[in-house]
Amino acid sequence: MEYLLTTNRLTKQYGRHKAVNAVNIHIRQGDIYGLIGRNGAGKTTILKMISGLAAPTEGDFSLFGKTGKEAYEYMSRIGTLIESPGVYPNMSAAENLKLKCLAMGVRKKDTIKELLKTVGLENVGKKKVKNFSLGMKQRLGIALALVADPDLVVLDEPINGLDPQGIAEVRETLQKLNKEKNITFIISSHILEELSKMATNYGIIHDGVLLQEMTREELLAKCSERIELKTDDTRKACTVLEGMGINQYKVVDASTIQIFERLNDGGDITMALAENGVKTMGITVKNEALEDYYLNLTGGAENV
Amino acid sequence: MFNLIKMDTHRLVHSTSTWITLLFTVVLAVFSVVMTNVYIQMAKEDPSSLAVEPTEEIQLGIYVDANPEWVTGNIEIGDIISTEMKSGVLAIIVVVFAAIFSNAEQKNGYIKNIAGQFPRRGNLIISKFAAIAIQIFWMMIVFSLITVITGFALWGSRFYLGSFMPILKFLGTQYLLHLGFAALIMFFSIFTRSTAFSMTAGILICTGFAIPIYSIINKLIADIKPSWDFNVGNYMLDRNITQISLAVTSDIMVRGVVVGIVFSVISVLFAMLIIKKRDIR
Repeated sequence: MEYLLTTNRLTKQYGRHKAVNAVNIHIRQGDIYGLIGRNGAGKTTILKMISGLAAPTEGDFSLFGKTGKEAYEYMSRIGTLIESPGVYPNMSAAENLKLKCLAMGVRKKDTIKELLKTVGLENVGKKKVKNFSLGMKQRLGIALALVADPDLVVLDEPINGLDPQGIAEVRETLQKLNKEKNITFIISSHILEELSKMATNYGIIHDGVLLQEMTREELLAKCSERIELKTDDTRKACTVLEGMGINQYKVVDASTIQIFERLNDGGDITMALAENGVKTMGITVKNEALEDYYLNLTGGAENV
Repeated sequence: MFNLIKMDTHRLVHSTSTWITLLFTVVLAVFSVVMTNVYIQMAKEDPSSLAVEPTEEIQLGIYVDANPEWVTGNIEIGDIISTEMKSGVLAIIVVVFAAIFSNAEQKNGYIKNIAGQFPRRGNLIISKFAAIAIQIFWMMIVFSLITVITGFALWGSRFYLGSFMPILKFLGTQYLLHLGFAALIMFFSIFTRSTAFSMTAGILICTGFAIPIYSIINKLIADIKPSWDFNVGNYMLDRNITQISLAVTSDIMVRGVVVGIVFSVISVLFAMLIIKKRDIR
């Protein structure tokens, strides 16, 4: 089994509107998969279909290598937190967890205590959930998703409403669970910088379409610092660069080359190009943030 | 499935609505018996107030009958329980509880935590129905016990048990009818996702607001087939709850049992179908 979860042209249509359009996601065991997209991009709908809360209009998904009805037999291995946490407001955190433990057949002693500790709610006692802050409810939602030791946890905007310290704590918790228990996470968020701190893989979704899937390394490479060189002859320029011992470069288009090493040697590069008769139209050091990358990919700031 | 029933039973015990409706069951049982006693006292002072003109009209609202013999003679426990229960007060509390309990999970979103993990999502309905059945059982026990205790407090030795089997048969039939009503309200809640709608609809049915609709249906049927003496009300939960007493024939009692079971099964099946086919919000 190469992938823990793959979707095959997963589509959800409401009337004439395709909220999710032929999405193919690939998630390996142990990944922290960040699903990036603006509000209304289709993130929640994808997660709902993966979690079994919504039926796809077209397409299907494979879970643990199984598809169709067989895949649905493995749904109990998925923990979910979709949109706002669903909790009984007149019950305590422990009682809410107890209900899910009963439903899932979890009989192990101290499970509830451990889960509350995992999400940092061990000191809430019998306080009713209706008196919780948004962040506390969010943590309880995560704890509910972790009941019965799922292999895959689907978290939709899990850091919404959390303060910076809470965000850091949740991040640490998820990374710890990923590392220690090998739990695979799918996390949707529009807070890109935060997602970039924990995700190992990314899927960028826009208007229901999955634009790109990439690993953390690929994304970092795309967003890393580089020299952007514009010349009138890229072929000759490449020969000059290689002559200088520069091998980490990429020809982007007919006039642009991105260079990823010797970022402080802009002057030497220009000189070498000039000596070889290559005209430098422009040379700048660029550092694209994840957000800029996302905006460029999805069509700019007007879409956000 | 068994785990889900355990979950819903646990929720039942830990829900505020469970205890509030049980409290109201106590209050309404006391209130009903006290009102019957007031009625008896009034009849003592003015015997003509118990003289009932035979009428074919069906009363709307909640009301209790009183037996003229109760003014001077003994009062049988079964008669009082039957009178109070068929007035529909207990049915109203059942409606309120069923609407709140069955819709809670959808309303607060807790269903999102569990629905996806159960490929046989229809089981969520069966477990809810099982918990509701337990609560209605206790509501009937509490209502009957409080009625008996209040009756003893008011009438002392005049209040006697009589034969026990007819009471059991009556309670069994009424239990199934109330259960059928709760299942119908659960179906309304699941279908509309609205506690307010299902509760209002249930209370209106309890207070007889469906009777004009039954009359229209009866009239239509009579127009189509004049020879057929058909009354749709005989096959409805609300009319059976108000018609079935200790004194009815076994045919009517059996009809009540069948109506209760049929409404329970159909409502549960439809609710299961909806929760299976519809996306969870």
